[in-house]
Amino acid sequence: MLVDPEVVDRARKGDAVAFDELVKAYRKRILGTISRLIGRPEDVEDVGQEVFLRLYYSMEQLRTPDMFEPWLYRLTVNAAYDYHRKNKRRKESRMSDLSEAQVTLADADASGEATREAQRKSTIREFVHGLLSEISEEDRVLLLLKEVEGLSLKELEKVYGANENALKVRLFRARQRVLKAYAKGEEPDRIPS
Amino acid sequence: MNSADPKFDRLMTDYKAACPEPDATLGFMPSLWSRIEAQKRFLKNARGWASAYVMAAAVICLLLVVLIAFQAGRTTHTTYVDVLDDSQDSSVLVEAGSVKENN
Repeated sequence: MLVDPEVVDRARKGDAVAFDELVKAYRKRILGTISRLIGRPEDVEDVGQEVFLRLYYSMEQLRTPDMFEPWLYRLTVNAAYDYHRKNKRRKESRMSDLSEAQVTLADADASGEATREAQRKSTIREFVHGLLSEISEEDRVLLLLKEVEGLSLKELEKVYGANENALKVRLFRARQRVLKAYAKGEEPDRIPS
Repeated sequence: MNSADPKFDRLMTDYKAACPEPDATLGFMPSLWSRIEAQKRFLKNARGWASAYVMAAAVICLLLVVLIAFQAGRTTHTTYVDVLDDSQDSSVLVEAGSVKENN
């Protein structure tokens, strides 16, 4: 945990200073997670605020401070789902827009190491987003939490309130589907090293 | 982060490294607190309106109870025969042979 359990306890009892401390401790991690879950940098802060707003009004329901992190991740996942639901139409219309890599390339007028690195990262992001689009929204979020955010199965069990074996099965299937798409794609040519 | 597939693990590690780590802007905390305050105000107003509606409903119920009780007090509990008896002159009934004269 990034803060003392006593801080969580005080925030739970309505202490604004303790809540402020909690937000400051977790915001970078949560914004990073949201950024990977929603994939639109311009909306990350707004969704992040939504997560902490929901946290503020649900702190009372938290039974013990050790459930705080799974609770926060649960709120984050829910906010990401809500975001995707709201933006489904917008996302569809965005398909006709330029891809992220194209935008990066267009922006990169000046050549140089930094630009090449930015291009490489952008290509990796786009490639992985393409692979992850092969699986459902729910499985994509679960896979990212496990493989990218590094949450353990025990933690995921608390976040989802689901059985560990059920999560393992879902993760296995999602991984297989992504790997299948990975094998099908022309990955070695697409990711510049 | 171990999926027992090194290719997959490498891809995920590269992906994480390729993702920007956004940090909150200076306006993050003030904006968050203003959203919390706005929500509080909204909830307070909603609670105020809800209690006003409950109060109004209670007053209306009370008035209806009083009105019904008042109406009930004015109604006489007589049978149909009594009402018929009161409305008819007894001599008419005697003439019709429905009732015997009592003297």
